[in-house]
Amino acid sequence: MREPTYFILAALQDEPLHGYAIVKRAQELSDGRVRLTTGTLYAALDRLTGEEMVRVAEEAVVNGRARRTYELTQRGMSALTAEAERMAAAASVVRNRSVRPMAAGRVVPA
Amino acid sequence: MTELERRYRWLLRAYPRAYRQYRADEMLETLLATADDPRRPSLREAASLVVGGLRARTGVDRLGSRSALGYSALRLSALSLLVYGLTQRAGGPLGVLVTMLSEGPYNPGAWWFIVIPALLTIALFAAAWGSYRLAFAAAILTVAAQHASANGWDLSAWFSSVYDLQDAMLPQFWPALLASLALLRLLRAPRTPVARPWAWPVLGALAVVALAPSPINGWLDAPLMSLCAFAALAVITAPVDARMPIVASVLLLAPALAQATYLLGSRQAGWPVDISITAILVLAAVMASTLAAGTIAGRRQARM
Repeated sequence: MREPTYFILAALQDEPLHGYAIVKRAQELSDGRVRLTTGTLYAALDRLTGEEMVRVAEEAVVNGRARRTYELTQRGMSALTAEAERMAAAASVVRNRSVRPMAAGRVVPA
Repeated sequence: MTELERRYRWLLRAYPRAYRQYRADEMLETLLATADDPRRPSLREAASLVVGGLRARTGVDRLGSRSALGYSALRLSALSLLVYGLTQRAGGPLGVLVTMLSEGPYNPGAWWFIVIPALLTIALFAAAWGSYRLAFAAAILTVAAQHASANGWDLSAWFSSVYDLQDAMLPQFWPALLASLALLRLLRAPRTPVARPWAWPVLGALAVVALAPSPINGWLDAPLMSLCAFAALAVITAPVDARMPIVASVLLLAPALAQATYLLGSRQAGWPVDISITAILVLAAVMASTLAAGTIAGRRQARM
């Protein structure tokens, strides 16, 4: 799973959000690292909707324009959890590394 | 309407009309809310909209999985090979027609120049409509007709000597054979609805007019230049559609295999080899770069 997709799903895990709110939430969650462009966001939402990981929760008209709110499906939540566990397992390989004493250097006789 | 909104609306025209009807308002709201500069779109956002719009137009976004992308690239490769093969062979009927008009009835043996393009046309139409069985049969018959036109009907002589490779030394031999291999794989692919089947025959007709040696283009013979230009274009457009460099790599196989056969045949027959090593290196470099671009873009586009 690509990082933008991961953070889009992560942004939706607490509550349904509309496009602008997803961009902001993804940026917050990633400490500003993931700055989604609108083109990337909607391409990802199209794909995630097609894969039934995300669905439209509500459609409303705000300021004369259609606004859709998206929410995570059970399938999306499972994919997000699986990806988080995969990354956690990968991180644990480094974090839980037992501190081994460096092999003492051999003293080379002069 | 503000100047920024007007510019964003103009950029959103990169997307297909149906998509805009569904999404444009929503995207516009997000674009206006996230804009850093209140006067003009950022370069990053503008590029993202153009690439996203073009990807939506090509349909590559809707393919979903890696295997779907692979099958789609295979279908495009088969169709492109048939179009390329047709451009290579379309000079035949024109030549027959010109000779008949100027010198009267033509040599009956030259009817291959009409049979082969006719079979390729059937294969192209059938493949465009998704009838892969018929397309495969027509492509295989094309290969047989090409071999028969070069070696005659005496089957015992077909594979008896190195001279039988003479037709395979020409780039026009390979498109039908490569297309038949691609179509063979497509026979077992999951069936998907074919969109715009007329596009490929129309593209084929345009390519024939532009590329096939004919009085219209002054009997020019620069198919390899056209392929290299297409390969360069395919590498540039790889971020939009990963299938393009894959198709270009497959098309470049035709002249590459012809040159390899020429070298092999010439060495075995003891003929002098008059082929430039630079030309081979350039072809290999173009193939390697298109293949690399296709692989990288394909991996990226197939990942969710």
